[in-house]
Amino acid sequence: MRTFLLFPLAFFCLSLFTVACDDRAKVQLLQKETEDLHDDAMKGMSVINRVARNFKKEVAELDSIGTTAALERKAALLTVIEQMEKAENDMMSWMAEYKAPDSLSTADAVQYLQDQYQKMQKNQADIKAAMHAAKSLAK
Amino acid sequence: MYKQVCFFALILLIAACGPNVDAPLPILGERDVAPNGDTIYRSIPNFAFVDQDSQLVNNATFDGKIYAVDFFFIHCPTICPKVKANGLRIYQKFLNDDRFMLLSHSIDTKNDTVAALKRHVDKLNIDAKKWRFVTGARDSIFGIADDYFSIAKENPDAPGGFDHSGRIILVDKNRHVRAFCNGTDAEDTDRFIRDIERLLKEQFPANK
Repeated sequence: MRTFLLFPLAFFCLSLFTVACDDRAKVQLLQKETEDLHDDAMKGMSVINRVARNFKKEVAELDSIGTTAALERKAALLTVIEQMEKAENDMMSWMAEYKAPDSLSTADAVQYLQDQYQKMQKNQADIKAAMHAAKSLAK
Repeated sequence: MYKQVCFFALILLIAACGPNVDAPLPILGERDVAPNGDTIYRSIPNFAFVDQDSQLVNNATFDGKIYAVDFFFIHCPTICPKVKANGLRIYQKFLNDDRFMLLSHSIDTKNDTVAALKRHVDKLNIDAKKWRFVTGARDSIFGIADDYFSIAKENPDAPGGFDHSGRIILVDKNRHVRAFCNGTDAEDTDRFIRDIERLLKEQFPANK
Protein backbone atom coordinates (compact mmCIF):
# COMPACT_ATOMS: atom_id res chain seq x y z
CA MET A 1 0.00 0.00 0.00
CA ARG A 2 2.79 2.36 0.99
CA THR A 3 4.68 1.60 -2.17
CA PHE A 4 1.48 2.17 -4.17
CA LEU A 5 1.13 5.68 -2.67
CA LEU A 6 4.79 6.56 -2.83
CA PHE A 7 5.04 7.15 -6.56
CA PRO A 8 2.01 9.47 -6.92
CA LEU A 9 3.19 11.41 -3.86
CA ALA A 10 6.67 11.79 -5.30
CA PHE A 11 5.20 12.87 -8.62
CA PHE A 12 2.98 15.45 -6.88
CA CYS A 13 5.93 16.91 -4.94
CA LEU A 14 8.04 17.07 -8.05
CA SER A 15 5.25 18.85 -9.93
CA LEU A 16 4.87 21.42 -7.14
CA PHE A 17 8.62 22.03 -7.16
CA THR A 18 8.68 22.45 -10.94
CA VAL A 19 5.78 24.91 -10.92
CA ALA A 20 7.42 26.95 -8.12
CA CYS A 21 10.71 27.07 -10.02
CA ASP A 22 8.90 28.09 -13.22
CA ASP A 23 7.10 30.91 -11.37
CA ARG A 24 10.34 32.15 -9.82
CA ALA A 25 12.05 32.02 -13.22
CA LYS A 26 9.17 34.07 -14.65
CA VAL A 27 9.68 36.71 -11.93
CA GLN A 28 13.42 36.83 -12.61
CA LEU A 29 12.84 37.19 -16.34
CA LEU A 30 10.29 39.98 -15.84
CA GLN A 31 12.65 41.75 -13.45
CA LYS A 32 15.52 41.57 -15.94
CA GLU A 33 13.31 42.83 -18.77
CA THR A 34 12.07 45.75 -16.66
CA GLU A 35 15.54 46.75 -15.51
CA ASP A 36 17.02 46.37 -19.01
CA LEU A 37 14.26 48.62 -20.34
CA HIS A 38 15.12 51.18 -17.69
CA ASP A 39 18.84 51.10 -18.59
CA ASP A 40 17.96 51.61 -22.25
CA ALA A 41 15.62 54.50 -21.44
CA MET A 42 18.36 56.15 -19.35
CA LYS A 43 20.52 56.53 -22.47
CA GLY A 44 17.68 58.44 -24.11
CA MET A 45 17.36 60.60 -21.02
CA SER A 46 21.02 61.61 -21.29
CA VAL A 47 20.40 62.68 -24.88
CA ILE A 48 17.31 64.79 -24.17
CA ASN A 49 19.05 66.46 -21.27
CA ARG A 50 21.89 67.43 -23.61
CA VAL A 51 19.48 68.76 -26.23
CA ALA A 52 17.48 70.66 -23.59
CA ARG A 53 20.66 72.35 -22.33
CA ASN A 54 21.50 73.49 -25.87
CA PHE A 55 17.95 74.74 -26.35
CA LYS A 56 18.14 76.71 -23.09
CA LYS A 57 21.29 78.46 -24.33
CA GLU A 58 19.45 79.37 -27.50
CA VAL A 59 16.45 80.67 -25.50
CA ALA A 60 18.78 82.98 -23.58
CA GLU A 61 20.18 84.31 -26.87
CA LEU A 62 16.70 84.79 -28.37
CA ASP A 63 15.69 86.94 -25.41
CA SER A 64 18.14 89.58 -26.53
CA ILE A 65 16.85 89.59 -30.14
CA GLY A 66 13.19 90.28 -29.42
CA THR A 67 11.79 89.98 -32.96
CA THR A 68 8.48 88.19 -33.64
CA ALA A 69 10.34 85.26 -35.23
CA ALA A 70 12.66 85.06 -32.23
CA LEU A 71 9.74 85.06 -29.80
CA GLU A 72 7.96 82.33 -31.78
CA ARG A 73 11.11 80.23 -31.84
CA LYS A 74 11.57 80.79 -28.12
CA ALA A 75 8.01 79.65 -27.39
CA ALA A 76 8.50 76.51 -29.49
CA LEU A 77 11.77 75.73 -27.72
CA LEU A 78 10.26 76.25 -24.27
CA THR A 79 7.42 73.84 -25.10
CA VAL A 80 9.85 71.10 -26.07
CA ILE A 81 12.12 71.83 -23.09
CA GLU A 82 9.10 71.39 -20.81
CA GLN A 83 8.29 68.08 -22.54
CA MET A 84 11.85 66.87 -22.01
CA GLU A 85 11.98 67.92 -18.38
CA LYS A 86 8.71 66.12 -17.66
CA ALA A 87 10.11 62.91 -19.18
CA GLU A 88 13.25 63.33 -17.04
CA ASN A 89 11.24 63.96 -13.88
CA ASP A 90 9.05 60.93 -14.55
CA MET A 91 12.20 58.82 -14.90
CA MET A 92 13.57 60.17 -11.62
CA SER A 93 10.25 59.36 -9.91
CA TRP A 94 10.26 55.83 -11.31
CA MET A 95 13.82 55.32 -10.08
CA ALA A 96 12.95 56.46 -6.57
CA GLU A 97 9.83 54.31 -6.33
CA TYR A 98 11.03 51.07 -7.99
CA LYS A 99 12.05 48.30 -5.60
CA ALA A 100 13.15 44.80 -6.54
CA PRO A 101 10.21 42.55 -5.52
CA ASP A 102 12.27 40.22 -3.34
CA SER A 103 9.85 40.25 -0.42
CA LEU A 104 6.67 39.79 -2.48
CA SER A 105 4.87 36.56 -3.21
CA THR A 106 5.36 35.23 -6.73
CA ALA A 107 1.92 36.35 -7.88
CA ASP A 108 2.36 39.85 -6.38
CA ALA A 109 5.87 40.11 -7.81
CA VAL A 110 4.64 39.26 -11.31
CA GLN A 111 1.84 41.87 -11.07
CA TYR A 112 4.22 44.49 -9.64
CA LEU A 113 6.84 43.93 -12.35
CA GLN A 114 4.25 44.01 -15.13
CA ASP A 115 3.04 47.38 -13.79
CA GLN A 116 6.59 48.71 -13.56
CA TYR A 117 7.40 47.49 -17.05
CA GLN A 118 4.38 49.34 -18.43
CA LYS A 119 5.36 52.53 -16.60
CA MET A 120 8.89 52.32 -17.99
CA GLN A 121 7.53 51.65 -21.49
CA LYS A 122 5.44 54.82 -21.18
CA ASN A 123 8.46 56.79 -19.96
CA GLN A 124 10.61 55.50 -22.78
CA ALA A 125 7.89 56.46 -25.28
CA ASP A 126 7.74 59.96 -23.72
CA ILE A 127 11.53 60.30 -24.02
CA LYS A 128 11.39 59.25 -27.68
CA ALA A 129 8.51 61.66 -28.34
CA ALA A 130 10.52 64.49 -26.76
CA MET A 131 13.54 63.59 -28.93
CA HIS A 132 11.33 63.57 -32.02
CA ALA A 133 9.90 66.99 -31.11
CA ALA A 134 13.43 68.30 -30.57
CA LYS A 135 14.54 67.04 -34.00
CA SER A 136 11.78 69.09 -35.63
CA LEU A 137 13.31 72.21 -34.05
CA ALA A 138 16.94 71.35 -34.79
CA LYS A 139 18.64 73.85 -37.08
CA MET B 1 73.76 25.89 -29.68
CA TYR B 2 72.33 27.93 -32.53
CA LYS B 3 68.81 26.81 -31.63
CA GLN B 4 69.32 27.81 -27.98
CA VAL B 5 70.53 31.28 -28.96
CA CYS B 6 67.52 31.76 -31.26
CA PHE B 7 65.19 30.58 -28.49
CA PHE B 8 66.55 33.06 -25.93
CA ALA B 9 66.53 35.86 -28.52
CA LEU B 10 62.87 35.11 -29.19
CA ILE B 11 62.08 35.23 -25.46
CA LEU B 12 63.83 38.61 -25.15
CA LEU B 13 61.96 39.94 -28.18
CA ILE B 14 58.60 38.89 -26.76
CA ALA B 15 59.47 40.44 -23.41
CA ALA B 16 60.51 43.69 -25.07
CA CYS B 17 57.26 43.87 -27.03
CA GLY B 18 55.11 43.40 -23.95
CA PRO B 19 53.31 46.32 -22.22
CA ASN B 20 55.63 48.71 -20.45
CA VAL B 21 53.97 49.05 -17.08
CA ASP B 22 56.19 52.00 -16.20
CA ALA B 23 55.28 54.03 -19.30
CA PRO B 24 53.09 57.05 -18.53
CA LEU B 25 49.38 56.71 -19.18
CA PRO B 26 48.28 58.56 -22.31
CA ILE B 27 46.39 61.83 -21.98
CA LEU B 28 42.99 61.06 -23.47
CA GLY B 29 40.75 63.26 -25.56
CA GLU B 30 41.11 65.66 -28.45
CA ARG B 31 44.08 67.95 -28.56
CA ASP B 32 44.91 71.21 -30.20
CA VAL B 33 48.10 73.08 -31.02
CA ALA B 34 48.82 76.46 -29.46
CA PRO B 35 50.38 79.26 -31.58
CA ASN B 36 53.74 78.54 -29.95
CA GLY B 37 53.50 74.90 -31.02
CA ASP B 38 52.60 73.46 -27.61
CA THR B 39 49.98 70.72 -27.49
CA ILE B 40 46.79 71.69 -25.67
CA TYR B 41 44.95 68.76 -24.12
CA ARG B 42 41.30 68.79 -23.18
CA SER B 43 40.84 69.25 -19.46
CA ILE B 44 37.90 68.97 -17.11
CA PRO B 45 36.22 72.39 -16.84
CA ASN B 46 35.39 74.24 -13.62
CA PHE B 47 32.72 72.66 -11.49
CA ALA B 48 31.09 73.28 -8.10
CA PHE B 49 28.77 70.89 -6.32
CA VAL B 50 27.66 70.12 -2.76
CA ASP B 51 28.58 66.92 -0.97
CA GLN B 52 26.90 64.70 1.61
CA ASP B 53 28.10 66.99 4.42
CA SER B 54 26.83 70.12 2.65
CA GLN B 55 30.43 71.05 1.85
CA LEU B 56 31.38 72.73 -1.41
CA VAL B 57 33.26 70.40 -3.75
CA ASN B 58 35.01 71.99 -6.69
CA ASN B 59 38.24 71.70 -8.68
CA ALA B 60 40.23 73.10 -5.72
CA THR B 61 39.12 70.11 -3.63
CA PHE B 62 41.36 67.94 -5.81
CA ASP B 63 44.33 70.31 -6.11
CA GLY B 64 47.56 68.35 -6.10
CA LYS B 65 45.71 65.03 -6.23
CA ILE B 66 44.49 62.49 -8.74
CA TYR B 67 40.94 61.25 -8.49
CA ALA B 68 38.46 58.69 -9.83
CA VAL B 69 35.04 59.86 -10.97
CA ASP B 70 31.73 58.17 -11.62
CA PHE B 71 28.04 58.99 -12.01
CA PHE B 72 25.34 57.04 -10.19
CA PHE B 73 22.11 57.32 -8.30
CA ILE B 74 21.18 55.76 -4.97
CA HIS B 75 18.17 53.75 -6.15
CA CYS B 76 19.76 52.41 -9.31
CA PRO B 77 18.79 48.73 -9.43
CA THR B 78 21.12 47.49 -12.14
CA ILE B 79 24.47 49.01 -13.06
CA CYS B 80 25.23 51.03 -9.94
CA PRO B 81 25.41 48.21 -7.35
CA LYS B 82 28.15 46.52 -9.42
CA VAL B 83 30.00 49.82 -9.87
CA LYS B 84 29.66 50.52 -6.15
CA ALA B 85 31.20 47.15 -5.30
CA ASN B 86 34.17 47.78 -7.60
CA GLY B 87 34.38 51.39 -6.38
CA LEU B 88 34.71 50.10 -2.83
CA ARG B 89 37.63 47.91 -3.91
CA ILE B 90 39.35 50.97 -5.39
CA TYR B 91 38.60 52.94 -2.22
CA GLN B 92 40.02 50.20 0.05
CA LYS B 93 43.14 49.83 -2.08
CA PHE B 94 44.06 53.53 -1.78
CA LEU B 95 42.42 54.30 1.55
CA ASN B 96 45.63 55.47 3.21
CA ASP B 97 47.02 57.27 0.18
CA ASP B 98 46.31 60.99 0.48
CA ARG B 99 47.31 61.58 -3.12
CA PHE B 100 44.15 59.88 -4.39
CA MET B 101 40.45 60.65 -3.91
CA LEU B 102 37.10 59.53 -5.30
CA LEU B 103 34.20 61.65 -6.54
CA SER B 104 30.73 60.28 -7.23
CA HIS B 105 28.02 62.48 -8.75
CA SER B 106 24.36 61.63 -8.37
CA ILE B 107 22.37 62.09 -11.56
CA ASP B 108 19.09 61.80 -9.65
CA THR B 109 19.12 65.38 -8.47
CA LYS B 110 15.45 65.17 -7.52
CA ASN B 111 15.65 62.35 -4.96
CA ASP B 112 19.34 62.11 -4.01
CA THR B 113 19.33 65.12 -1.71
CA VAL B 114 22.23 65.97 0.57
CA ALA B 115 20.47 64.11 3.40
CA ALA B 116 19.92 61.05 1.18
CA LEU B 117 23.60 61.09 0.15
CA LYS B 118 24.59 61.34 3.80
CA ARG B 119 22.52 58.25 4.67
CA HIS B 120 24.04 56.44 1.68
CA VAL B 121 27.59 57.29 2.76
CA ASP B 122 26.89 56.28 6.36
CA LYS B 123 25.61 52.91 5.15
CA LEU B 124 28.81 52.37 3.14
CA ASN B 125 30.86 53.16 6.26
CA ILE B 126 33.52 55.09 4.36
CA ASP B 127 35.69 58.13 5.01
CA ALA B 128 33.56 60.95 3.61
CA LYS B 129 36.63 63.18 3.12
CA LYS B 130 38.21 60.56 0.88
CA TRP B 131 35.15 59.74 -1.22
CA ARG B 132 32.87 62.68 -1.91
CA PHE B 133 29.29 62.13 -3.05
CA VAL B 134 27.85 65.23 -4.68
CA THR B 135 24.67 66.71 -5.99
CA GLY B 136 23.82 69.97 -7.72
CA ALA B 137 21.70 71.45 -10.49
CA ARG B 138 20.68 68.67 -12.87
CA ASP B 139 21.96 70.46 -15.96
CA SER B 140 25.34 71.04 -14.27
CA ILE B 141 25.68 67.37 -13.29
CA PHE B 142 24.74 66.14 -16.75
CA GLY B 143 26.91 68.81 -18.35
CA ILE B 144 30.04 67.77 -16.47
CA ALA B 145 29.15 64.10 -17.14
CA ASP B 146 29.20 64.89 -20.85
CA ASP B 147 32.60 66.56 -20.42
CA TYR B 148 34.09 63.49 -18.73
CA PHE B 149 32.43 60.94 -21.02
CA SER B 150 33.22 62.79 -24.25
CA ILE B 151 36.90 62.33 -23.39
CA ALA B 152 36.73 58.85 -21.82
CA LYS B 153 35.27 56.90 -24.72
CA GLU B 154 36.13 53.63 -26.43
CA ASN B 155 35.89 54.98 -29.96
CA PRO B 156 37.75 58.27 -30.40
CA ASP B 157 35.61 59.08 -33.46
CA ALA B 158 32.27 58.57 -31.69
CA PRO B 159 30.50 61.70 -30.41
CA GLY B 160 30.61 60.51 -26.82
CA GLY B 161 28.68 61.92 -23.89
CA PHE B 162 27.17 60.52 -20.73
CA ASP B 163 25.46 57.19 -21.35
CA HIS B 164 24.78 55.57 -17.95
CA SER B 165 27.34 52.86 -18.68
CA GLY B 166 29.02 52.53 -15.29
CA ARG B 167 32.31 53.97 -16.44
CA ILE B 168 34.85 55.06 -13.79
CA ILE B 169 37.26 57.74 -15.00
CA LEU B 170 40.74 58.68 -13.77
CA VAL B 171 41.78 62.34 -13.70
CA ASP B 172 45.30 63.61 -13.06
CA LYS B 173 46.61 66.66 -11.18
CA ASN B 174 46.26 68.79 -14.32
CA ARG B 175 42.58 67.91 -14.84
CA HIS B 176 43.37 65.63 -17.77
CA VAL B 177 41.59 62.30 -18.22
CA ARG B 178 44.18 59.51 -18.23
CA ALA B 179 42.24 56.25 -18.04
CA PHE B 180 38.80 54.76 -17.56
CA CYS B 181 37.27 51.37 -16.93
CA ASN B 182 33.96 49.57 -17.06
CA GLY B 183 33.00 49.80 -13.40
CA THR B 184 30.69 46.78 -13.69
CA ASP B 185 33.61 44.53 -14.70
CA ALA B 186 35.89 43.28 -11.92
CA GLU B 187 38.79 42.46 -14.25
CA ASP B 188 38.65 45.84 -15.92
CA THR B 189 38.60 47.42 -12.48
CA ASP B 190 41.75 45.46 -11.57
CA ARG B 191 43.43 46.94 -14.65
CA PHE B 192 42.16 50.39 -13.62
CA ILE B 193 43.72 49.96 -10.16
CA ARG B 194 47.06 49.25 -11.87
CA ASP B 195 46.54 52.43 -13.95
CA ILE B 196 46.01 54.43 -10.74
CA GLU B 197 49.29 53.05 -9.40
CA ARG B 198 51.05 54.01 -12.63
CA LEU B 199 49.65 57.52 -12.50
CA LEU B 200 50.67 57.94 -8.86
CA LYS B 201 54.22 56.90 -9.76
CA GLU B 202 54.27 59.33 -12.67
CA GLN B 203 52.77 62.34 -10.91
CA PHE B 204 54.47 61.87 -7.50
CA PRO B 205 57.91 60.51 -8.46
CA ALA B 206 59.69 61.30 -5.19
CA ASN B 207 57.07 59.76 -2.82
CA LYS B 208 56.06 56.24 -1.78
